[in-house]
Amino acid sequence: MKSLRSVILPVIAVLLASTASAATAADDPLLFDLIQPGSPGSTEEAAPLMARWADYLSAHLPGHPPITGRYVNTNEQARIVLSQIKPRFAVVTVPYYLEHRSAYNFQPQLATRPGGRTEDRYRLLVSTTNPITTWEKLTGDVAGTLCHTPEAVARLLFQRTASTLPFHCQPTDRLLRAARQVVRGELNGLLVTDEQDTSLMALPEGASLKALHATGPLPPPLVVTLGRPDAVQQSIIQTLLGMKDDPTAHELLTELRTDGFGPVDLNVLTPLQEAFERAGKPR
Amino acid sequence: MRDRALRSCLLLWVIVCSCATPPPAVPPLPLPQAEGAMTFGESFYRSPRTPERVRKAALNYEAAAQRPEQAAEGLWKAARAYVWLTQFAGSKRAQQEQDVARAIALARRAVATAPKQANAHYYLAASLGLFSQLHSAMSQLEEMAREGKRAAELDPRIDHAGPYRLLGSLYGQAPDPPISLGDEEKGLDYLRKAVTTAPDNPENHFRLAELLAAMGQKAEAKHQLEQAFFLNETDADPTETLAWQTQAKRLWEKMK
Repeated sequence: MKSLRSVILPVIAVLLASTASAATAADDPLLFDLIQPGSPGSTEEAAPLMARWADYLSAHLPGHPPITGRYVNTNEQARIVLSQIKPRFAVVTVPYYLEHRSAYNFQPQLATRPGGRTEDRYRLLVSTTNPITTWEKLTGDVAGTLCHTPEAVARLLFQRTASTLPFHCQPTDRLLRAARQVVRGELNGLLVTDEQDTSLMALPEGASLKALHATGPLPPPLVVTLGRPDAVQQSIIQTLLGMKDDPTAHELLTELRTDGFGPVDLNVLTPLQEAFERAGKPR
Repeated sequence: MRDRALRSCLLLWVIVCSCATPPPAVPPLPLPQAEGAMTFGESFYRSPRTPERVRKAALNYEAAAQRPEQAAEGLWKAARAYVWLTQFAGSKRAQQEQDVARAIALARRAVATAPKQANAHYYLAASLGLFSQLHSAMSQLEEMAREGKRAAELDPRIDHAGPYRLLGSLYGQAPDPPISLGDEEKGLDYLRKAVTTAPDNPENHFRLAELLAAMGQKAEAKHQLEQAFFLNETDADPTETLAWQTQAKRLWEKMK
């Protein structure tokens, strides 16, 4: 996948850049983005699913306006999309939200429910043969899809900036490969989400991995608007909120790997934002 | 058919989904006479293939399948033709969706008619992969893997070790858990089996090279790619050959 991605992404970046001016010039098009840095696939590959989601939303909004949805899985694509095309809403991972909320004026509106989870937890896994007992002593390379947003992950997991970590955070989209490399001693650690941890522990490799460090509860990926929501955006939010109870949305939600959308738990998110800011200040 | 279909269908993994709409029912088409249809089907399917000829082949195979004694063969060969059309005919999306739905329906009937026919399971797996591609959905991949494994158990030699090639590409390129069933090492095992089972097939070497390159094993990847370019298939269809060779040349340029 990686080789394919490297071929496709430059093309997509050019396409996105070239469509940006057209999109902003259009008659207030309703665009939204699913931003998942480090996830596999490409915008083009995900287009059919995003189109189904857009069609669903369109069918449930007054006047059935045309809506376009896009899947974006690199930071560069996300930057182009958010700065030039300005979607009406976006679904972002929590690290991405924390790193960019000021730049794009992200306003959290809803939370996803991946696999029914209402909270997430990040963990640092190491080999069971690794004798160290604290993450401060870990050096070398640590991999994970989470390393696509290293600054937020460093602050969330270790209350430090990425540049001051004693190890290097290496982005990957092949979790199983990285896990095996940890088991073989070729990598020193693996950063995983709760869902990734659960799936790894169900595999043979899981028996050779142990958690060295973990966060407290974190929110799942968020639905955000760029600024305060207008009436149309409010309608979209209500539609998303109602999907869980709509039998016709069940299949789409399964495809999107979320058990609907729910309110954001500000009791978790607000302290997290504060902790993120604190961790970024010079010590 | 060299199932180049299987590789390109695997290129279009999407991360976000784990379930897709089941293939829709496809209305029956007017078929030619069953008498002699198998022979016509074979004739139309012969290389070099064109979309028009393969479509005629598909209809003739379907017609042939109406005779009980050749039902299974007619069904899997018709499914194979629709797999080819989905991949290589250059049709518009709506036509591709119809063709792949038809391929799945026919392959399912072939499996039901002859559960021990490896080709039936193989082309069911292939068509499920194409369906996943077209709909950016991964719900079909578990079944695709199951059917591919069943085909490999029954006869791994069909389509030049096609079942191993299919499984190798599937595991090698699908996203890793928890998103999907990807497992590069498992993929590598299957592709090595494909090369061992059908060493004269260049695409087996190319698929192995591709996965090795993705895994960072460049020296062996280059060697396998050289093997792929060196081997000359006498019975290959030009459209299919061009498809994998284009990808192989791109990989070669990248590894230089």
